[in-house]
Amino acid sequence: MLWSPFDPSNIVDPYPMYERLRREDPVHRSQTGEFIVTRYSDVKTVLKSSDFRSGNRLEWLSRGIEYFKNRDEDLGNIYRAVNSFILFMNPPDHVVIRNFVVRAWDDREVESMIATVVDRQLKDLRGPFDLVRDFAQPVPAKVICEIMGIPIDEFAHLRTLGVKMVRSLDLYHSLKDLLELNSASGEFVKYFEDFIRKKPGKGLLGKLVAANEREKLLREEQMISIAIFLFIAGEETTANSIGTGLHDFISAGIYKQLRQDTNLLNTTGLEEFFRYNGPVHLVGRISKTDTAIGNTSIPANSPVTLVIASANRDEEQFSNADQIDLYRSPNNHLAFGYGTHFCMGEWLGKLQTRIAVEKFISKFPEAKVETQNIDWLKNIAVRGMTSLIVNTSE
Amino acid sequence: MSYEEVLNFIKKEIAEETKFPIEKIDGNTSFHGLGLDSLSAVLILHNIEKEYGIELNPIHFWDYPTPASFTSFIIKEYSR
Repeated sequence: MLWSPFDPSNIVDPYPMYERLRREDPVHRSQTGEFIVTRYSDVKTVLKSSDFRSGNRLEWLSRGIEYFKNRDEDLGNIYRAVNSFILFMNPPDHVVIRNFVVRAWDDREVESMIATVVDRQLKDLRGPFDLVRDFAQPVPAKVICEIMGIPIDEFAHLRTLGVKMVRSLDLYHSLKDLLELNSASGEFVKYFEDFIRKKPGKGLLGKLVAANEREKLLREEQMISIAIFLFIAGEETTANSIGTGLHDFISAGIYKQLRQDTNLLNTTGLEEFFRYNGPVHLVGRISKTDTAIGNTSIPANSPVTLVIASANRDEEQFSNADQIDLYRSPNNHLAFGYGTHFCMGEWLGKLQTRIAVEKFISKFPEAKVETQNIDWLKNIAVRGMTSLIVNTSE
Repeated sequence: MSYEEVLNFIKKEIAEETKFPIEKIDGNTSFHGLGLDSLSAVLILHNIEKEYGIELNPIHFWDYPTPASFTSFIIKEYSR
């Protein structure tokens, strides 16, 4: 079986499976019927092609909600939560809503706030500690709370929901997954409904609410869904990129190189963080018409899974792709996507990762990974570790 | 659980989903061919889990895409 993402060995390390797919069947019709696309050139072509639309998961979830409604299982909260996730949208709504958020999000002066959050988080850490739970996860959750104008002490509760919510982006669900997703969705919707109705004065949410009162663009349910989306997009991905990135760089023994030349984090080194093992492994599209990817014909309405993480290891695009090269240039990786759905928070993800890693290295120049067998999250679309014990000799 | 028992349970579930008479369901026809989609798969998988107190990964349904091969997989995995 070429596509077996849940095999225990592929949960630990999916890259050998990706490599085999690129070599043997780069546009692979999987056992579930969707096409799995693994080469850099093909992934990039589909990302910019107008023959494909977004919203694969939203369409499936919507059908699922309808299907289970007829079987007395109410999963309606899922739709309430994800209906306006910007990454599921298509023109013309996509452009309108994306621009609405971008216009409100004019405050990019967040560097000193991030530095403060990171400093506070590092202050009491002494080895051994859990790099993921005590550092990589709380930092972005607190930062996105600050940005959105949510009280910072709510971060832990919202993060727990966020982890469950990210399941909505995953490729395969059991009914148990859907029920869990539905309950997390319900809590999230309730939280932001209350929050928005209180007319928040500050932060990005305050600005969005105010802008919407003027422009009357969004219904309340859309505003709630966008708030949930911004929260999880802002914290889950960054938590995983800081955690996985530090792990890879410490284990590969190039931590020292970074320590000696921290300026690398302002330049090529940071990009390599995202190329080598960025958190977003899979994104979905659907073909709008009969079309083709490379030599493979794709009938209309076929689900297509783009393996971003595989594209970023494609030897045709990156020499020594499985090696970390802190000086790699050019480095046109696809970790933040490409085209109209290019990540809106790319600048924020990079800024946070840079500050978090810089400060971490300077406080713990001799960090060593203690965890032997890493426990990975069950998600295959957005990958991350649940825990990582590191020791330090300071 | 026995092979026959699990196979019959799966066939019964498929019959309920597709409204085909159970005796017309061939164990070697693919789930797609029998008219199941990714949603009916979620439900059938759930019912199998409940019936036998086991946990199955959604993708396994399509890794072993006929009633007969899926039954063999379940027996192999869980009858130890």
